[in-house]
Amino acid sequence: MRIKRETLLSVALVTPSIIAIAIFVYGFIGWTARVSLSKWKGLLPDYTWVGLDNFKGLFQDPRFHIDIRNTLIFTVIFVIGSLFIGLGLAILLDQNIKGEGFFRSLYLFPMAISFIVTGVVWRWLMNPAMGSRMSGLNLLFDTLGLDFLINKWYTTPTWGIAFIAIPAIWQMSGYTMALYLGGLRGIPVELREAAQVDGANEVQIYRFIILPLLRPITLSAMIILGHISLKVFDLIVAVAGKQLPLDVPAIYMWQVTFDGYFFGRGAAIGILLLLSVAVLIIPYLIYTLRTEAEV
Amino acid sequence: MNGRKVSLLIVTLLILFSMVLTACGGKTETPAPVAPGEQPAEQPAGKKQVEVFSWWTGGGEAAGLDAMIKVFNQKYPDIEFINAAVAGGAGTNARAVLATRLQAGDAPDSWQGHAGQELIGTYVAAGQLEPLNFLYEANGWLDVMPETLIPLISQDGNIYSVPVNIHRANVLWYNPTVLEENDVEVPTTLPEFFAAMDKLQAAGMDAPLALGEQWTVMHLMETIFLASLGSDAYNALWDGTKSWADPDVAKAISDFEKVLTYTNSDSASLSWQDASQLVVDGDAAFNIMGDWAEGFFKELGKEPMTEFGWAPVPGTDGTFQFLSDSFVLPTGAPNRDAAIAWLTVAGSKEGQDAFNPVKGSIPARSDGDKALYDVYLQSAMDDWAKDVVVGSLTHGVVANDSWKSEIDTALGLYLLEKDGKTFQSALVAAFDASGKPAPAPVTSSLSGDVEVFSWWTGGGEAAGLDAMIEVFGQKYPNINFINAAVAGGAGTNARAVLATRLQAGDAPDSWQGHAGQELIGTYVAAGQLEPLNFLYEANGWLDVMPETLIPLISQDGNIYSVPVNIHRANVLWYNPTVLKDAGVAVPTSLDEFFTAMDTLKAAGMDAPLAMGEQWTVMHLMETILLASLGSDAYNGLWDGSKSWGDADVADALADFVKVLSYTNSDSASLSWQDASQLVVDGDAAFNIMGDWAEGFFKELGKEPMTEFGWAPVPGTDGTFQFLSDSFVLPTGAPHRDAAIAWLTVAGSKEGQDAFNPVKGSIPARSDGDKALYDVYLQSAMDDWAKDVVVGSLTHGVVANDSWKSEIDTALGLFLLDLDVENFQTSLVAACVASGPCK
Repeated sequence: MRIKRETLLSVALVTPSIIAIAIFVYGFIGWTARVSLSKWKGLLPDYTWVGLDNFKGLFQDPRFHIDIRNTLIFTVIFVIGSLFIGLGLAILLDQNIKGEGFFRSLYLFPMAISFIVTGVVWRWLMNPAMGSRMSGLNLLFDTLGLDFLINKWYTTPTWGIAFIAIPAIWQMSGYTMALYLGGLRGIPVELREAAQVDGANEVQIYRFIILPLLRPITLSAMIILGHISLKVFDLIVAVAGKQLPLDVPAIYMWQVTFDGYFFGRGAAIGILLLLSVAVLIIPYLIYTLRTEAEV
Repeated sequence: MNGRKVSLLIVTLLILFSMVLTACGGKTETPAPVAPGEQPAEQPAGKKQVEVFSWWTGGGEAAGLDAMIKVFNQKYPDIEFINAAVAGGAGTNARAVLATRLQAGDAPDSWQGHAGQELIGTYVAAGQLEPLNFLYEANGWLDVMPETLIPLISQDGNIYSVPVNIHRANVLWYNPTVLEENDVEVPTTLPEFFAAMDKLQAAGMDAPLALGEQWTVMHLMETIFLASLGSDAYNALWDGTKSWADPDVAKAISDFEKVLTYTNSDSASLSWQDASQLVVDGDAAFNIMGDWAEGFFKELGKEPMTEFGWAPVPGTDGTFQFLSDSFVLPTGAPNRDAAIAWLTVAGSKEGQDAFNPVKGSIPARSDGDKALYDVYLQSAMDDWAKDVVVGSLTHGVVANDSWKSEIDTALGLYLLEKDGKTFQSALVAAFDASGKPAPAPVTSSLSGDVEVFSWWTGGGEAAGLDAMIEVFGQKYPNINFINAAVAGGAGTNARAVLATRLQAGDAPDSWQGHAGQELIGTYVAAGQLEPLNFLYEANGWLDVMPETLIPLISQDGNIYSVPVNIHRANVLWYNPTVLKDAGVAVPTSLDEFFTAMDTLKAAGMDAPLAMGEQWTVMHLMETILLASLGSDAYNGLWDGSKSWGDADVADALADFVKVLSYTNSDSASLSWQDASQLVVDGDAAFNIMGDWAEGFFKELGKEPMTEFGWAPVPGTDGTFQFLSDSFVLPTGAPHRDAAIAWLTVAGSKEGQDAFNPVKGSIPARSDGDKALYDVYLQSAMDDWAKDVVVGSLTHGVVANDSWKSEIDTALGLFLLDLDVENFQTSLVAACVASGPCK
């Protein structure tokens, strides 16, 4: 008997979930891919093959250009912002300060809130009204005499999307901090002590020892934050509604599919989103699997 | 360890791969959906079936059915006919089997039944049948069937069956030799009849009128009642407009009693054949029996005119008391298209002329080919075409089964005691118990569920819906209203849920939608909606709704929804105090509007026109387009008769750009409420928003006329740019009758006057009760009744969703760069891509 009973049992146990995932994840990915190659427009399915027309149309669509630009701006600011603030908080908490547990929880709490709640609160904070109707942060700046900080927030032409990254950073930097804190705690004290013995100062220790050792953590954090940012939808809708200057592919996908009944075009956007996330995730998975195999 | 991992991975991948392939492959093979209503003959060939249930298993009936099936097979060779005939008990067994199958939800595609109340009282009351008016209209059957027949096979204006054959009940069969020998003329009135029978009795014939078992007595009774009362009074007895206690009913009973004195004493032991045979054998002179007796006489080898003769029952000349076998369309027929094909054949000249000569009956159509029929049937066809048609009691036309069985019991008792008074009171009691039309509207006998889908889940909308449901509940107490409202996203969520349900074939009975192209472009294009013209005609809605509204909610002459409420889009809201302080009058033209806003700007108000998020910008744009172009050109943009590339469109867009220059810079961050509030707060002078803003102002506690004022958007006076919530009838609604009941309430004055004062909108009917509405709504009602009606873009009237979403994208891009030329090019392209432009 080549195959052990345990093996059979384990296969039997995972089979239901494999089948469910095969249907409800991969099956529907396949279906979406098929729809994206069809000219389905209107309520009922029309699977007429149109090749890549939907994709070509998207890349000629000025709205989709805005989507790509907005996604890039948002991703860069959100990922870099979260990484820096997360790392900074982690380093501060790593100094064996009093009440570390309290601060750790405090910084982590925003992650427990949904993007919708975050969005609604920041919508009030980032109220762009001027003059007598001024409120939120603008009113605070005005009261404090920091007039140069008063701005139009997310209604700023062209760069409005960058302000949407602020609530996102607020929400996710605590999580990044937790990742880094774990990494920092995993670095043996002996390494620091050896460096100190060799005469390195604190900056040099971080620059040449700690940060290189945290590289895998940074990579993981980038992947996690990156795919969140590619899929962002709820936060933008909660802060600013669906308006074109702040459009991203996920919003376009929703509107074009469910408001306009262009199912083919909507599916094409979905497939592009999937591909862009895959570009991030697949190299990471390969890297992780390879590392695990080496270990 | 590693080997196991790898093999598991390979297995997983293989499963995944095959699943993905199946998923993709399966979908590509899905055939294009077939639009309902298409002729089944044109549908792609395939294994289609139609199962037809009857009790025609022997003799001329079975042969006639076979002949008609042959016609069907020629016309619809793709549809396999399944003959589900059940033998025995003259239909009793078959009806029991049918009841069992219906209870199990296993309905055949069509079944046989006696036309009239037997079908209606049993199956229509249980919500099992679809009305067939559409089939009658499509095939022109109303022109070839006697006018007086239709009400007898209808309920509340709905026709529920297709009669295949017609038999006559009021036939007097006589023996010509016996009459001749006794020098008796064929009687034409009841007194003549009595005189003739007296003469025969005097000549030694004890029982000149042959009678059989009890049902033939009832048959005799109904013909005598008809003779004694006349056709109008006879009909009135059955539809409840005449009392069974009336003195002429007593007279009819006494006539009947007199007739019985001429009959044979052994009637209870004779079948109808036995009784009829007495006539041709010369043992009796007369027999009153349905015209199937003629087939029996021919079987006996008797010659018409010489060995047996016929005439209408004395006193019923010019009246055709009929009964009919007919076929029905069950709600939820498994193969509805094929069932309709069968009914089309059953109602066709060809089908009826195949069936009836074999069965020995006449076609229900008056255009049958007489050459195919024998001499008696030919005379019956003549009478059928010209006589007044009334229904038979014994054979299920005029009374439902319960009522008939109570009359039968009363008759049995009467035959024992011969007490006319008791009989009459028993007949009155039978009417009260089972014959009386249900109280209030007749349709309240409808029962079952009706699931109505909407996005009215909060505020005045939900309260208005509840008020209308209450009206519905009063009129249709037996229908269980299922309020399938989906909250969120101003209908976006609801529409997504609805789309999913429709794709899964799980349609609700009716749903809410914006009247106009939003409904038509989405659901009519997908073949999901039934036209409602019949409802408009039946309820006279065309007379009470503005003439210019109807084309906007129609496609190719078909009206597809029932508008419940009306909102106006082109309203300019202003702050009277701000205007007064600045010395500005309410503008009536675009130029005045610009001048007024310039004055306000000069007085220090940066943004005199309040505007909100992007959809309110589109709302603003459509009103400015209307103001700049006028109503004819505006309408032309949407029906394709005017090009979006025209110079005046460019001018209108330039006006729009100019209007935008007066708006607040933070508009993208404001909801419509925020923008409207700027006006009442005095931060802006004007706001262009739909008239739901009035409800919001009232919520804020503001006084109309003093704290906020309204006018048509400058340049649009005399035009009412409307939007409307409406309800539809899906093809294949699970409970079509109940859905129609709901739509009837939704379009009624009562329903609309319940809904709209609560929701804060005006009724789509122009006859609403003004006293129920507030001062703004009263002014809107006046305008609605007299203005030219045009549709709103933002709210789904003039453009389908795809077109609107392309315009929305173009508008969003335009707001970034304010490039009019580019915008106009996009609008032209959008009209070509998703609108009517070529």
